[in-house]
Amino acid sequence: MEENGKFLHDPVDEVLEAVWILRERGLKPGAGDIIKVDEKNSLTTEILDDVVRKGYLVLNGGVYDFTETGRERGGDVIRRHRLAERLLTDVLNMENHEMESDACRFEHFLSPEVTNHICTLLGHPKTCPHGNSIPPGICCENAEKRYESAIVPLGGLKCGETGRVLYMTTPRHDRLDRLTSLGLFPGRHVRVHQREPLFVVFIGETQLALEKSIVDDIYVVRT
Amino acid sequence: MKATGNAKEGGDGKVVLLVGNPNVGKSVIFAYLTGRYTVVSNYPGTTVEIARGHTGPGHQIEVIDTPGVNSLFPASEDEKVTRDLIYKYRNAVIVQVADAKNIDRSLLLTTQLAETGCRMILVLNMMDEARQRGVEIDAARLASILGIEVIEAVAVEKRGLSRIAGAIAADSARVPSVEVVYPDLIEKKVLDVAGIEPGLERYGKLGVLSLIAGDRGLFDGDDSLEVKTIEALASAISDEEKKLASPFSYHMAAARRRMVNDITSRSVKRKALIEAESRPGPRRYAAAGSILILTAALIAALGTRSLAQAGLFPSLPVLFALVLCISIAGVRRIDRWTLHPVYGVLFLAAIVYLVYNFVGVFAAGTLVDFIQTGLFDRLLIPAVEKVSGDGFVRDLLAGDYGLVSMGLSYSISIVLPIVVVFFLVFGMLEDTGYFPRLTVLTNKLFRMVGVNGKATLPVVLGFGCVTMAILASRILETKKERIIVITLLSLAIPCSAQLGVTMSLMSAISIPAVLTIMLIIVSEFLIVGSLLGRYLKGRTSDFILELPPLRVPRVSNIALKTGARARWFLVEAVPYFLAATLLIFTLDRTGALGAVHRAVEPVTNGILGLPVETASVFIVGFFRRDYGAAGLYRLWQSGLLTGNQIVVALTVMSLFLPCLASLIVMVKEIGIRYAMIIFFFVMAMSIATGGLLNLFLGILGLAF
Repeated sequence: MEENGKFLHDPVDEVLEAVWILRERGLKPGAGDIIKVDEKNSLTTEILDDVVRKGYLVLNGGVYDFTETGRERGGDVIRRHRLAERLLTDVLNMENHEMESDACRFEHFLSPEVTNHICTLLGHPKTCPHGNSIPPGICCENAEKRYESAIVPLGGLKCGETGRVLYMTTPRHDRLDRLTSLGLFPGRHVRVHQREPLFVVFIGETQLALEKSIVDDIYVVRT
Repeated sequence: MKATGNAKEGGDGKVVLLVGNPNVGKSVIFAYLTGRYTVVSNYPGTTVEIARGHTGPGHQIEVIDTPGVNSLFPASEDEKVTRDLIYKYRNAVIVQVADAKNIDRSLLLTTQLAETGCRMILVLNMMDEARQRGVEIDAARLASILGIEVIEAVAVEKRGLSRIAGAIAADSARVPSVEVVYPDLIEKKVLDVAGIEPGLERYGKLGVLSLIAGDRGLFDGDDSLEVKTIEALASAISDEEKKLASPFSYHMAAARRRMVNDITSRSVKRKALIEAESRPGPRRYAAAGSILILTAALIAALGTRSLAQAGLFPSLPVLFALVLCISIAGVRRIDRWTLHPVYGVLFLAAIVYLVYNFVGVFAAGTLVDFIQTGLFDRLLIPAVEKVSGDGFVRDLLAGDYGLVSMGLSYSISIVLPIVVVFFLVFGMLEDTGYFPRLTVLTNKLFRMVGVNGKATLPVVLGFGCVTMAILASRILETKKERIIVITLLSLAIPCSAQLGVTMSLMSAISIPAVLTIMLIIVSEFLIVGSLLGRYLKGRTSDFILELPPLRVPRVSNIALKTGARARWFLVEAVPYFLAATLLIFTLDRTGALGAVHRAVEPVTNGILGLPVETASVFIVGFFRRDYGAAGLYRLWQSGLLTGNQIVVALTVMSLFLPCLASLIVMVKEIGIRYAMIIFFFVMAMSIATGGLLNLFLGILGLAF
């Protein structure tokens, strides 16, 4: 696995990923921060210099920032990684630790084409299982026009349509607990009864009224 | 209501706890077991006062009816109450009441109850409805899987209830043998935590799981546990959780779901039923026609008569059209229409129109007139005068501030009929399950004032009795939401008594004056609400509400409910009327009333521009604002108030604190600090609004 990993890792991606994560947390990353945040401990200051030379990062007073191309490539890496996490946890039901290492490998070998297909399949999810946001790709912008997603948010179903819940990106535990205790959880069939002024859905014999913001976090397969 | 109830309460005597999801028929079973009645309703949050009774031969077994819960990991105050009761009565037998057609959800709760380690029995209620919907449950199979007795029942028809009583008497409850198997990482964690803090043992596995799920509320006030240990454990757990893709609670819920799916796959069969009702056909056109009839009746009723003249007679066509509409369309279709953005509003309009006529015109007009002039003025007061002779006793009972002529007369002849009729109508609507549906239409309005549609329930109840509504605000999940709703209830929601008295005064003032008062109250509701929503710290909860199926109301249920609420009013409110009267009487006798008048004169006369006599009205208004309004009515009758003065006085009185009882309940519910803040805020708002109104009317030279 280690050899395999070394073979596949492009250090540029690792650096861009680390910078992305730090910037996402609102930090101004210096060299030390970037090296610390990388989980594989494979980065050095030389590699950082190299990435700057290649024109992906700029160094300003000890703080690294993206260039235009760097931000694009970094976003793509993050997007692949987080989409892979979604796919592995929610659709393939994998456990945490194995999922993490697989997701790391996915981020390096997924082609843009395949990435967009996965994104479409998953219904263009906005967050990863950890709750971090997934940068949107071209497929998300043209979501309506180009492909019919296999998986859509519950909020995307029309009145009278039924979907089987596949996964929920609900950010808050209490909401998740509540939905579960009311019988709305992965595996259940949900029928949309009405969309305005509130969403009304049927799950078996239970009728629930929900706000749009809640149903947008529930992803279903049309049945 | 902490888990560490003293040993006396938790140990001795046999206790039965009725536990279950909301709206599964616990209160009906409670009534059967104990012969006592609790307010049965089919929306969550009605069992706010814990009902207790006794059952069994010799009545030595205590039965406690708990508020409905979906989970023992509580989201709102009323859900906490149930969990705390389970831990308070550690040796109690739990009778879980389940809605058979929603068996999956009930079993989620069963698995949690099993983790408390309590002995229990499962009652599958509403078996008839389940069968009608193609849900076939093999109760014997279920019993053997769960390891507890499972009883089939149809509570409203009293079927199976004797078996419940029998099982309680025979002491056949067992600790369930079914156990949820969690992923290794959680099972390991449970062992770890239990090893570190052995004091958690008495909470059962659920206690440890609660801690892992990040809920420490369970252990509040338990002195046997080291607070530091619990905090250290909790923070270690949350650190660990951050590394995981999904929180512990997610994995727990998933494992529980798998367990329930496994149980139902072995014991429940679902037959697919063909849904014929959604297909187009002649019935559908008939249904559409019935909507037209309802619309026409409503327009005709509103068009031909001005609202002030409306009454029982002109509202009959609307009532008839509503009944016709429901019978043609069928309950299931009405069920959907009440949620519809257009039809739903139409239904709401018809209902508000009918309620207005029934409560506002019939009860507050005809009925009050009958009781006041017919009963009190002609019979009771002359009789009291005759009996009490001359002098002090006569003044005390039948004088200007007499206990009978003022205290009882107001409370029994003016307020009681209005309140009883309101509760009758409210109970009927409540029994149909209409109110949860109403929240679908009102959610956006309530979002404007910083809460969600769930606040509809306490606010509508507030039109009946604000004190009850403050209790019912427990169904709201966050402190912020409760504070907002309680403030708005205290300030801008007139209770039925207040409304009734105000309405009888409205005949004294013009339509523009009525509209002015309404406009002021509605805009204060919106402004204060949205400001609180924006600036009050704390969070607002999600709007997720279960809608119980709409059903035809049961007369016996409504009668019992109205009776219970009327009794509650008599016991809770009438003493305040009498106390307030006695206070005024004493002040008058001792000559202190004049001094009090002078003391509040700067406010009543200076700021509000009202005659000095209104001072005593505002003093009784402190006890109950409807009593104050009734006092205004009397002042107007004796010609002491001008049109403008009535408008100002009514505005102030409408915004006043509802009553002393509501203040006391408020202190109990949200603590003395918040209650006092709300109290002073409401008082300041009402007087400031009245003062400004008086000022503007003067400057603009308007006269009503």
